[in-house]
Amino acid sequence: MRSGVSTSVGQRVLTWLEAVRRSIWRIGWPATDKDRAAAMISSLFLHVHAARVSRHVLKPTYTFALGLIAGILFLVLSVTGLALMLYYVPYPPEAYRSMKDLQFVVTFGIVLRNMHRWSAHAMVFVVFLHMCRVFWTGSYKRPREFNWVVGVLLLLVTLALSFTGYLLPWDQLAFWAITVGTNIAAYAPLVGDQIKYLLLGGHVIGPTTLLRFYVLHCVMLPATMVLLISLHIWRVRKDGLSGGQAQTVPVNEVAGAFPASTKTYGLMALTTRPRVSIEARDANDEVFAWPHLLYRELLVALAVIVAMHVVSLVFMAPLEEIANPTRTPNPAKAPWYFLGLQELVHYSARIGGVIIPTLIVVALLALPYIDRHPAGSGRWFAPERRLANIIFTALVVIAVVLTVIGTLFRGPNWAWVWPWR
Amino acid sequence: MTRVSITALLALLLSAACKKSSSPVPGEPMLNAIRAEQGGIGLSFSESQGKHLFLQYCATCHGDEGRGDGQNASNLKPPPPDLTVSRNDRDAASLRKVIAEGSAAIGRSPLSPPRGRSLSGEQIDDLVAYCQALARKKS
Amino acid sequence: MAVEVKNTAPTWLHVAFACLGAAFALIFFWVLLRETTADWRTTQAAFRRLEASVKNPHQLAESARIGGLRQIWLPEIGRVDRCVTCHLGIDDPAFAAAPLPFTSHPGRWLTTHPTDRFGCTTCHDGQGEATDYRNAAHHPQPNVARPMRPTETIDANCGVCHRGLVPPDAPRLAEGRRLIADVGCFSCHEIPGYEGMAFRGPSLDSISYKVRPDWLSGWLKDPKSYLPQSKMGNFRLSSDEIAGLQAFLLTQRAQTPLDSSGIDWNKADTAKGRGLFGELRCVTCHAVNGRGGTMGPELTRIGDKVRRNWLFSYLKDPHRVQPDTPMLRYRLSDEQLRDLTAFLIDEYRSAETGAEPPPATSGDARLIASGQAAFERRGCASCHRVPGVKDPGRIGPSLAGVADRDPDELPYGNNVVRHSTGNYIFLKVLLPDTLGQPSLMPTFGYTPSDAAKIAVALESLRKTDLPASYVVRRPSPTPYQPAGRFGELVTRYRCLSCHSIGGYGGDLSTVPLDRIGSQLQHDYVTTYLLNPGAVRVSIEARMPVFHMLPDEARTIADYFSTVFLDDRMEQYNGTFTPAEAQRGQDLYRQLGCQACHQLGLQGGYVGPELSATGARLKPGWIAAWLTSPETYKPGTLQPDYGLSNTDARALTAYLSTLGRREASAR
Repeated sequence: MRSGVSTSVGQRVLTWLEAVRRSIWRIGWPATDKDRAAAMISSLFLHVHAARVSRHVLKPTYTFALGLIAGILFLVLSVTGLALMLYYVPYPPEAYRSMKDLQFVVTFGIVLRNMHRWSAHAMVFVVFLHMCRVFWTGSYKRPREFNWVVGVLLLLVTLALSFTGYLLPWDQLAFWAITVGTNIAAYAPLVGDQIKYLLLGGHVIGPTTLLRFYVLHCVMLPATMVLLISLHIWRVRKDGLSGGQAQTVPVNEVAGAFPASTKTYGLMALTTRPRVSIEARDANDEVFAWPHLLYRELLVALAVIVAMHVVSLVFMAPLEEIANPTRTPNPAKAPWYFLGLQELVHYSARIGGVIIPTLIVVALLALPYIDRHPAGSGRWFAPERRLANIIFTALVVIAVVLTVIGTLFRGPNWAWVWPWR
Repeated sequence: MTRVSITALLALLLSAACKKSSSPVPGEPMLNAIRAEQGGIGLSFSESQGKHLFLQYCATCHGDEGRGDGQNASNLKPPPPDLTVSRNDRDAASLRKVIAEGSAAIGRSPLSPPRGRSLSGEQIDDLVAYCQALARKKS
Repeated sequence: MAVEVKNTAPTWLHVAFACLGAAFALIFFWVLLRETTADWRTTQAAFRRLEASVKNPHQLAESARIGGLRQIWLPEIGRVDRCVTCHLGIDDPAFAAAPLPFTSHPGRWLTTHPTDRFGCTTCHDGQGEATDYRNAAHHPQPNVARPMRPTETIDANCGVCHRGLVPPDAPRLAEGRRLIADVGCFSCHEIPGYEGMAFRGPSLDSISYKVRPDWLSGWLKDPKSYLPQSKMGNFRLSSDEIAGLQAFLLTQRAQTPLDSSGIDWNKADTAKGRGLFGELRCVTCHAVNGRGGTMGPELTRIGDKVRRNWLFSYLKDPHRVQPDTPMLRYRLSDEQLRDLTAFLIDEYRSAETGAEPPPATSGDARLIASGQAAFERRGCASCHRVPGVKDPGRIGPSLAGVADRDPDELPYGNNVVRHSTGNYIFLKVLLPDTLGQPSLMPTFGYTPSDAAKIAVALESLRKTDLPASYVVRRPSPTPYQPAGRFGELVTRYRCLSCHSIGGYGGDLSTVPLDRIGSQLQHDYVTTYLLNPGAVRVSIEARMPVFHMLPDEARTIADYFSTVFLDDRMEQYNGTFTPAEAQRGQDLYRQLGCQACHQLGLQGGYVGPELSATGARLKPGWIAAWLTSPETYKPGTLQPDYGLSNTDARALTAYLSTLGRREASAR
């Protein structure tokens, strides 16, 4: 600071602004790698990432960023959902009216609603793909067993969110889809009717059902989702992303000793002090999260948002006539992700509708504790896991085929139709 | 490779659902029946209301089509004129005067009675419109 | 130690960001553009430009405020109509000549049905919540249950609130409802609005005595081949069913005809019968050769149908055979009845009809049983009483809420039509058995326009929860049933078949009898009833010659003069000065009354002839009528001249002098 010469007004303003900025962001805009890394670990939002990540994390063909896309979609759904909550009224005739108001009155209402619906469908689909990816790369094995369980729970919560949201427009499609869905739930032995009663808030789908589903959809399930997502990502950080070249096998735990961390604390790579971690990590394998990971993630986010916008502008979310309990469409179909289930129910209500799905869910949850063999984790379609992959792929194909049949090949009275006729 | 083939198969199946077949234009038999009965179109709403009034109040002497050939016309001296012939002195104002106040009000015989107290202003407007439409049809 | 990794993002990342960012910006601005150029915004802008040409300062001030969505919210009937966002001049007559969509509403509908109480979709249907042309369902739209109604069938929506049989200003609806009431659709179908109405075809309990068997089979095959105006439809019966029904019906002999054994048919004088036929004015109700009334069946080929003894019995006492028939009971001698019967049978028959076969005595039991089964199956008993057959109730489906049925689930047969309830009902009414499903409903042979009107009437049957303030109930006139001697005469001569009292009765005569005692003079009534003449030249329907007894006529006239009175008319001062009469005569010429009324041999045919007015009408009535004809007969051709009391009195004075000389000479 030169003395004797007064600083100009402009300079004083800039200095003042700089002070304001520094009170918010304690670190300046990072210019060097060190500053960037420091920013990563000291920021509230950014410290979900480590300062340095393994290089294979950047490879898109390993995970296809499916988990990230699912998370981004959840974010999109939350934002659009909150906006929609300003207009939506969860009471039967008004519910439908608010859908019409969104379509005709609210500025950008159509885009808002379409975004929400298509993002919801996309999320279910992406979460499913994510599960397939995790299986086919064997990433549920030790030490990631519990994360897989959390993931399965997340899948169920996603389906529940989509299902509860499906009813909210209160049109014929919504009403009868939920009728079918809750009727399938009623097939459960012993508790089936109670489950249905609990879901419907009564014996028929009416105002109580709508309110119940609304609260589930907007409060209870999103809260659970946020909790589970946090846990899920936390475990990813702690367990590390699978599939690295230096696939470290955790050291056998010593009784009472805290499990060893597989991550370093980022700055360590730059300092010359001795390492703290037990395992050896190859610094050549790692890159700075900022810019490499961060920028790629932001790109994926932008791509997802742009893609969802395009889809929302091109395809209108369906809205049929107002729900009419006396007029059943023929056929009444469940939401598409339950159509495979409905197809199964068509063959056998109890076995198809209850036993098989329950078995599948239980099998999924128990999977990592049944398949304890550690080999083959971290690679796509590892030959060591051929049997597991075949079984899983077969089940996936069956599920997809059943869903496709239910969507395209079933007409009135659930009779077989050829979709091109 | 397997991933690609699976997606391709899915895409193929989905596209099969989007085929549309061409179909003939659906008919409207009920509307056609009503329109056929209404016959000669070309009347505005006001004119068609006027036509109903004309048939009720005027056609006995002036004829169903206003040609002055109603069933009572032979008893009238002078006979009612042919309204389908357009004349210069048959503008809206004079038509309204005849209808509302009678033919005596425009210096003719008193045989066409005044309807000003039986019909509302809009009804007379409709009648005037129809009378003008009658003259228009001919030309 | 650490290998230097290039810690700047690769170029392709930056490029991808730029592209996606640009795409996002494009999308954002495109959505913004779409919002600002929305249909309704451009329309309102056009309206503001239009306002400049409407030179009304009030309008200009209003127009400055036009901007933004406008809606009519009617929570009572659950409607939100945003049509007024674009239809901006709809309730402002200043916009009558403006271009669409700003034109004001045609007609006077908005005076009686203001938008703030009825909205728009109540009458027009369509999706009121929408704010653009396509979604408002101006044309059929997917997922819109009720697209906008074309004006040709808009009457159907009038009928949702106006439940009466003759709603005002809805001609197609009124005609449709009348047709339904006429044919009696409610006998087989439950129809809201027609509860409590009973349609009865002729009782069949003596059909064996009544008709010739060959006629019966022809009738069952196609009723319209005998009677074009028949209300009975063609049931499309197979020849087996016809044979069975014929056998079954010919066993019906509950009521023997009256004894006509003393009648010598050889002495029947058909010429006298013809005279009687004219005198009794049968054609007022029964058409022959296409001319005449429609209250009773056409008699053009009655000789093919009935047996002579039965006809004699019926003409002698119709009420014995058909207690609820509108036909009156003349007072005729047996010889007169014989002549009339012989005339009808001889005159009105086809050339090839032979002599009457004797009544059948027995029949094949199995055929009769199958006939009874067919009778029950086709629901004949809904309209025709036959002893021993239980009432089948209504064999057709209920039509309550028929307009709300899902159009896509209705059968249209091979017809390629737009799926709508209107089209379905139309096709069903017109040709019931062409919709791809076998149908028990008979073919009524309606013209397409009649079928369309019935469809309009049925399309007004919707399941609605209208608040009571919106519903215009059907006025139900209290049945008028006089008692005592007068009542007997009214029942015998069936006055109420043609005349109405208190809104109850027939409308063949345009003269309700409510105040007839103050209209007609007592003596005139007596004379008239004994020999009804022509009062109106141009009307074909005539009151029949009843062959009433003089004291019967007197009873009726006395009753009229005592009961059917209007006190104001009774209190009119009926003594006039000659000066008044002279002034009246001048007025008669001045006003041009001779255009429509006959005096002597001159004058028009429109109104009643006036030569005998002094003997016929009471002065109180004449004055009241001349002063304000619309009060007593809305829609009358009698003009309202706006006569002052003096002028009305003068005319009354003049008219009261006409024909009085004859009366006073008597």
